[in-house]
Amino acid sequence: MGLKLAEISKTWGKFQLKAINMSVENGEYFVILGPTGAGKTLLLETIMGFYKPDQGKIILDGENITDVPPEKRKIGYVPQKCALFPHMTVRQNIEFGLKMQGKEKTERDKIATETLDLTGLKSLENRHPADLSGGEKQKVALARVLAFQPKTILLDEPLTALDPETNKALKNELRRIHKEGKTLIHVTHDQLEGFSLGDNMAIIKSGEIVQTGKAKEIYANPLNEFVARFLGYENIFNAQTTATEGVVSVMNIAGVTLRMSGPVNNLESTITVRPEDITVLPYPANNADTNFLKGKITECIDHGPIVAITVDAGICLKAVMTKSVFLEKNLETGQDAWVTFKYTSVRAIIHPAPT
Amino acid sequence: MSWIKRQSLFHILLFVLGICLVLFLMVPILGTLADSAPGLLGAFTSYTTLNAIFLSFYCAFLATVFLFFLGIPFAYLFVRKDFPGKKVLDSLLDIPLLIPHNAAGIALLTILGTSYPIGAAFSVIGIRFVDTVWGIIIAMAFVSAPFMVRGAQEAFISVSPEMEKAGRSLGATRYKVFSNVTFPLASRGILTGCLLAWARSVSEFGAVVLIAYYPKTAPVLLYDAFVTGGLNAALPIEGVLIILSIVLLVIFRLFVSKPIKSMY
Repeated sequence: MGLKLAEISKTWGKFQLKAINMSVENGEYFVILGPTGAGKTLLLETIMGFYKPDQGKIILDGENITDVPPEKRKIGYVPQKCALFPHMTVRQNIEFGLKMQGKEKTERDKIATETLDLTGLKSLENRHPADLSGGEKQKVALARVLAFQPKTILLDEPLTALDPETNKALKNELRRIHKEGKTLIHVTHDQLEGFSLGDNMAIIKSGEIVQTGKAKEIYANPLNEFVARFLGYENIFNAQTTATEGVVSVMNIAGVTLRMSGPVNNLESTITVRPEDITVLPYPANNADTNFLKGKITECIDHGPIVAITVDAGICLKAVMTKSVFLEKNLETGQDAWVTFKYTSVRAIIHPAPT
Repeated sequence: MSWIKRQSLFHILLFVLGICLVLFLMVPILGTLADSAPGLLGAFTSYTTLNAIFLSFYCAFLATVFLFFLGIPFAYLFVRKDFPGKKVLDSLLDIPLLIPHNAAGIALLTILGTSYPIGAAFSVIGIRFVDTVWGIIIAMAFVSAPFMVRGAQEAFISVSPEMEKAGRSLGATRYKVFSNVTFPLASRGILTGCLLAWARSVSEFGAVVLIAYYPKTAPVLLYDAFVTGGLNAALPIEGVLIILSIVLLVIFRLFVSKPIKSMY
């Protein structure tokens, strides 16, 4: 039981959702991750019933809801910009769904008060949305949906444009709601946000789901170059397998030899190494089962707590390290450096992205 | 003086041009009021004048109500839906603004006169348009329709469809979303559209005079007084009309319309 999309297609102007298949179990935190313009919001709003799919079915808890109007789906929805009703107070916003359900005033009051207490919004109950901060607005939008008591909640980029502290607090709030047993479907373009919250995940690109599965598995094994790049894999190369040494494949990338654990099916393949798996040293140090390349540091970019370093070692490799390690190793642009990463850190991308 | 010192030359220039516009509008009005002063008391106690002004206000109100019920749904549909011929329909809506109003009066006459099919059909159920209040209302509504619809369109555009979607996701039907969310949020803009339509209706002469010379509305009475009695006969009527219009506009601004706030 849960939500199931079967072959959902929808044309919206020149944009198309193409045969979307997706399954979300009850109680799951599901993240739909994709770049801007990938069709995330259209997909969410099709699930919500604002757009009727051209083809396919939407099944909620075994019931076909494809033709059910949005107000009867009992799915909660938090739009991207909260869409709080500006002519109503926080309490009135929270009571709105209950009023529409035809609940009596006393019951509405009771549920609204409980929701306000639970979400820590009691002190803001008489304020209007114009008098709230971005984070407070998001909390009210969530509270409004929670008061409506849906089993499934759709969240459209709920953490966008929030300061780090508020972002963190809202993430905790979402985790709390999830722990209460709600099914959350969260749309975002931010991979860190997605991985920090989602159990399962779908990666969407140009109206198509390109990979779906457990978040950890997707992170470890991106299906193609697009997914790899989108998840932050920066060192992506076309490689030729030149030999095998037991369980190790020897690969050539523009004259540079790398080794990776495990066999590669094709002679030509796309391989990747995550920046955080690469160590940059100012001196040579070779360990077992480790690739070791000499190069020159071409760029060091300070990102506050971390530093991104680019090393030209015949191929350009990007690495990240903590600021303290960077300072300790006394690295700087133009300096000779040694790059090391384990054979197991080299991953083959199974299906190279179509050009 | 200190306020002026704090302003940039650009803003002072804008201010001066604004003052020029206000003077351009106010000098004739104030001049007329000054000229009409001697006869104002007489005009204020004249049954004919007050009756004509009341008729104008009353018919303009009914024309606005008529436009409200037809114009608001149309404006909403226009803002929220795409349909074939939308652009053509959008252009047609402005026709009352473009054609001379006496031409509009003739057009209405050729439709609503009793010798024409539609006019004849209405006369069967006892509604005649020529020289009746019905004719005045229809003529006023015809010329004011764009003000109502455009005002309402702007008001509906300002309401984010996201809010309507949020409303529906919370269990509200389309009708409930419209009455609980969209309409209240657009109400101020719609009220402005109503006021503009009403004001335009009150001032309508060209279309009204052709379809309904009688009963005389204020602009028709004014014209009649000018033609038969000259400037001296027309001025007091105009004075009363201007004073009452200003009073109503000020009341609206004070109690209904929100002042435009500076963004800086």
